[in-house]
Amino acid sequence: MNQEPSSPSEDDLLRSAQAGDALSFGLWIERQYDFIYRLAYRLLGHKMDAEDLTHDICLSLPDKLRKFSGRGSARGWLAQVVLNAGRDRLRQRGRLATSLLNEEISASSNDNPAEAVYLQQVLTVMKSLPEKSCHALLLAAEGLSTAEMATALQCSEGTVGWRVSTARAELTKRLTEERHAATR
Amino acid sequence: MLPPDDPLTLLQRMEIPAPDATRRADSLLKANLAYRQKFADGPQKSGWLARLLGRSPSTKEHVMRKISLTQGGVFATVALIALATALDYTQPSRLQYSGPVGYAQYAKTSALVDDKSARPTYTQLSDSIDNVRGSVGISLPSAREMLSSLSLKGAIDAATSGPSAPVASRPAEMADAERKVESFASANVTPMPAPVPSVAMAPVAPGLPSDGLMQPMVAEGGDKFANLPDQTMQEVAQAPVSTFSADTDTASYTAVRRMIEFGHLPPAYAVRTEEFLNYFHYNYALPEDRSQPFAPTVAVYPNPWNPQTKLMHVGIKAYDLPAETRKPVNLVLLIDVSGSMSSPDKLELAKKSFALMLDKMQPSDVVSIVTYAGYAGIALPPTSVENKDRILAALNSLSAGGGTAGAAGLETAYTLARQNFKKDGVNRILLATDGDFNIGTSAPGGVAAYVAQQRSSGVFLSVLGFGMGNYQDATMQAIAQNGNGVAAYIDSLSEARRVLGDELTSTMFTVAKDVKFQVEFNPAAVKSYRLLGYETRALRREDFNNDKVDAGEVGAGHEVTAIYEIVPVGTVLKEPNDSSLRYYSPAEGVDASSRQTDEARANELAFLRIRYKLPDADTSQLIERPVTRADEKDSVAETSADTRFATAVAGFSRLLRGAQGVYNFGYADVATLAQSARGDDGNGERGRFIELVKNAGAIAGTQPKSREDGGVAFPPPQ
Repeated sequence: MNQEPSSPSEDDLLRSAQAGDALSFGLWIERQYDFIYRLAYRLLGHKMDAEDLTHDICLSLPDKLRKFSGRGSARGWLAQVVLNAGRDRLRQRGRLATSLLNEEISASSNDNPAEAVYLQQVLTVMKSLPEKSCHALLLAAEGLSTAEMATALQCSEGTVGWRVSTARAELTKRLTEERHAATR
Repeated sequence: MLPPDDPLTLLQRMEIPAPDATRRADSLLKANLAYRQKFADGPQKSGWLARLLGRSPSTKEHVMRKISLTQGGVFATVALIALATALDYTQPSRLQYSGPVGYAQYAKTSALVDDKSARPTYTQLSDSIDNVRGSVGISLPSAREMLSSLSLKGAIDAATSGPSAPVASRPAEMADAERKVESFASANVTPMPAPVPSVAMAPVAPGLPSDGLMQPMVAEGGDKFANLPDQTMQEVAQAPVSTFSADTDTASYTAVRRMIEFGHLPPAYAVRTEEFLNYFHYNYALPEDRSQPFAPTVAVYPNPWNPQTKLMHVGIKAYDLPAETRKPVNLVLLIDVSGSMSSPDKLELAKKSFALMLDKMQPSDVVSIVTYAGYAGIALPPTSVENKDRILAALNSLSAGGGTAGAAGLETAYTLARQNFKKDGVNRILLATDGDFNIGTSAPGGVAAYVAQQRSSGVFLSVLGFGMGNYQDATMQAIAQNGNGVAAYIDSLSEARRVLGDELTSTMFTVAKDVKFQVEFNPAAVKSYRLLGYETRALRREDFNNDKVDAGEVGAGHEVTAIYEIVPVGTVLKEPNDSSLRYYSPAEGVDASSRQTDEARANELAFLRIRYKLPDADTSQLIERPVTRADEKDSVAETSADTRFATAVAGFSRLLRGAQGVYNFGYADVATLAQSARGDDGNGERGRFIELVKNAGAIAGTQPKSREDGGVAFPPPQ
């Protein structure tokens, strides 16, 4: 899903929207909605929360547009906006709620129960990773390009690959630990 | 390669539920409104779309302001969307086909250009192509030449001729479509009400309204709509009889809803009242006797948007078919897989929609899939629904690509349908397309004529429209009408669920065909009348009794609703000399009232006749019902919930069309009226309508009132 490369025209739309063209904005935001929502869902793990967050982000975007320097990828910038908003939302909500909400995810992936259980573990472990690693994994899972991830994570393109592989290694390691802990 | 249980792969595969469509629409609308507020007075830099306008930045400011604020501007704006869409969604891979694809897209775009403004608009578009070429860096060889040849011929010509739409290139082919298309053109040459005073702008050619960068031909993203000017008030004395064909299309409502959810009021001609009315379900009474497919429900009551007139509501509901009595189905899916379909809201949505539909079909039903793009191919030979997995796999393997004229997709579909013909069953082709009709050129007489000819073989055809941007409404309607089918527009999975899931029976199982309505008004009671909507469905009076004249089909469980606005008689009128009329008797005097010897007839407002044929019959049946004082209610509140809801829907369409004769009635009143008639609202469509009306009101509130009421028909009440 969502692995189509962001076309240059998407950036053009955004820049035109920055320049005050309402229609460009309308086109742009309609095309971004699902992207925002999916990232929000990955962050929050709950449909209605994700919709709420997406709603707030949509409303704040006209304001934020003015602050976008225009450097880097537009989609990456948007991803950064979502990550920041998601962080604030998670802080408000507190950790307890977060872990509870993962239930819904496992319930929705019901075609393969074993996989659902494993996914549940992955998500739980992800929460315990440093935020940077968690974000890198999440963006990689959503299929962002290296350039987009660089903008979103505010690092150089060269660092992106390293970040993702570190995060993945960290995740795998902790998962293995958990398994050992569980079987012991 | 990653191991199968790599956590990242798992995360990628993680199922993410689709966001709620209403919430999505709401967020998008509010974001657009917030944007307008933020940027209404802000600094304006030269943007990409601004450059498309081919204007200097200084004048652009005005242009942009007008675009977001005025109705005329909306048209200008949507034209730009067309360009933006055409260029923007173009994937690099598709530019390999830049000849034909580029052409097709410009042909669509040029549908926006009307005769009168063709030249100046051409210049702008042409300039903008240069700009686009520069700024976006894509090559569109010979786009300028194409545009030049197109724009001079005018919008409709351009859109229906040339290599991108070969099927419609011979004018004599599609009498019906052409009539509509012509009227479409004339409807849209009608000047916009209340042109906004001009502001300083770059010089434009004489004759072009200063605020009309493009004329109202323009529809959202190049979508083309068929519509006629509003029905005018008919004097009963001159035209006592009104005749029209049933219509169960819903495309206009869905398309308009999408525009509104996108933050824009639709252009008036995109609003077809009858399709608004018929989108919704009503619980009209069913006939007591099953030998008749439906019975009329009638009410007459004061008009909420004009106290001087009354509304006459006529509804029919066809009985539904329980699943076990359904006839076997032989279904051919004809799917457009040309390059323009490669969008999540087109081919991908079509695939999901058909997958949904399979759930509602019986195991013995047969499905085949034909695709067309660069070539027509059979993607799935006839397969019974028992083997659902095979059908799903074939659906999933479809991908969009290619763009040149395909060969014989339609013919292949008909051949397959005929080969598997179910004699006592339903034989239907479902055409899924975004309207880019590059179906085989070999069809003699054009697509519509071909479809009409195939109809006699018992294979019917329905059209499902997908995607915003180049939806060819007029063509789709013409084809569906000729194929004894419906045209529906699918913009979301929930809409697909509605059309192909819940309503599959009505989409597939016709219970009556060639359904015609005729209302004869009693000049002693009604001075004049106007039918709301059905402009493209008007029939000649003599066509009513002519069984050779084709008319609309009604599917199982479908409702058809029509509303007349009538002016009660104040004075006695003279009548035309026509002996075939119920209320006319030449032997008696000229005074209408004195002729009403039959007391019952004097009590009648009108006489309703409905003609229909059973699906496999050649001769029609007649249902008759007088509309009497007993059908009259003193207020809207006394009418049934269905009548009130239909009235709200009609009122909404009147507002969106900027129609004359609407007084002291706004979006809030529509919402209130609809709210009072919400009923149990099983599938939530009425609730969503109310939200839509509120959104339209919010959008209208951000714009200066640009649809001044002409107030010609009736002076506003004191």
